[in-house]
Amino acid sequence: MMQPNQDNARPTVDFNPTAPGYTENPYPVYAKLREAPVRYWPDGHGWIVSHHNEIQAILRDPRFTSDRRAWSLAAHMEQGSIPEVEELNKHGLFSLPNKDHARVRKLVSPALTPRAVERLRPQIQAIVDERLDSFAGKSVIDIVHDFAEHIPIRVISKMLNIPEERDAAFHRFADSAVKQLFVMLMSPEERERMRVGIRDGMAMVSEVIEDRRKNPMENDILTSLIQSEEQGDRLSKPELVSLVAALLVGGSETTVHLISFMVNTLLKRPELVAQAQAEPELMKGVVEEVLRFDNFGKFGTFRYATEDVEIGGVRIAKGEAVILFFSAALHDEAVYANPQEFDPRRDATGSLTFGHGAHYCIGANLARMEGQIAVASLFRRFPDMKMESEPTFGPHPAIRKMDSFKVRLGA
Amino acid sequence: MKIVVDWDRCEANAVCVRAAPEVFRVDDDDRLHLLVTDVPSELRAKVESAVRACPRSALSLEES
Repeated sequence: MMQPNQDNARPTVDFNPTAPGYTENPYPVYAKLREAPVRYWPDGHGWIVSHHNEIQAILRDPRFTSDRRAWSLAAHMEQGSIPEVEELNKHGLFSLPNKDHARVRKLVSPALTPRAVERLRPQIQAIVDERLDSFAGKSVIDIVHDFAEHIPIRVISKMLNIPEERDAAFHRFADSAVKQLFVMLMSPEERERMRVGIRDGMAMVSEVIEDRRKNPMENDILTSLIQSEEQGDRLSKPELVSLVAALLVGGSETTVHLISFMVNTLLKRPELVAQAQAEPELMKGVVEEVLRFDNFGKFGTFRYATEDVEIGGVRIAKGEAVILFFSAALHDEAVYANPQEFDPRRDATGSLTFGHGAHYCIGANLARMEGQIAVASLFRRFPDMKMESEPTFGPHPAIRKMDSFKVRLGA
Repeated sequence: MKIVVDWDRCEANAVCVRAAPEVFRVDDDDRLHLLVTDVPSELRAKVESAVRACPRSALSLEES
């Protein structure tokens, strides 16, 4: 196994993402990671960054790229040998050179600004209401499987005018595609399931695109993306497929966890539920603070140095990876007063929950709106809702994935 | 001090507007407008805050 070049002894840290109890309660491990802002993790072949300021500096620094091909170890890691993953990523937003990235991103970002997303409010409310209507006559439901999992995929598919029959299949695709960022943490069986999930998902995306090409629609994001592609120099075909895949993946898997974690947090703070119902602005603060206080991520995102850079007192060599542990940085005492306290009124400006810089989450505003509407509506419809069983966590390489989480509706 | 906007980066999140409403405005077409050309000294701290807070890192400052 190729070793990165080591000039001097580098500060290292022990970290075991599979340690029992880590998923349920990662906070003691995060505190340990935060003992220094940047330390090399030998098993992971990358520098773990755990402080807010250093993470933000890296995300603003053009000497770091999100393109995995800049990693000196890329060819030696499993990732390089999975063609389906290569195909998904090659023309995707994380891999495109800066100018191409800006060109492609700009084709969809106008549809996801705060104002644009506000115009989707009635549609999102209708989707949430329909799901809540389906609970009629039920006394116990599962927040994850019966509620959270059904909202985000329906919202993004509605935005793209993709019919409901495809929801389950696209959700499976999203599940696989999120995992591909963390291949090194998966078993061979998981890797195979992920590979098949991505292959089938990409085939479905191509099918949806070709169908829309034959049957264009008015006021349709997907139709206008296809028209951009047909114009010749605004969007290539592989970029189009990767972009649509990214919208479906980004739009459906992560927001599920936001909703689940919000419900869990609020059920444990009933006085806050009443306040948030009275003050819609407070529910916005709840969204931000849940993402800070109890983030569903348990692993970092990667960047790669394109030249030698000094960060947090250490020298990152060209070709080395940094692993940005947002969820540890969200409890950074240097930035947040009393970080272990849940305070939805705290100032969340500059928070890293949705990233920062060129790859700042393009769907952040949509995710926020979905979280606010889904959770406010759930508590309004079922004000006597109580937790029936504590959330259990299922296996996942990078997400603290709530599995079963039952509530008694009290209707 | 002048504010430099990377117009490719700006996505009308309006975090800058909240940090320094005297200086930044986003219109109904999601276009950013700078309300000053040279930043007055009493607004300097707020503007620096806005530059740091922009989630897209679309703002920077130039000494004029």
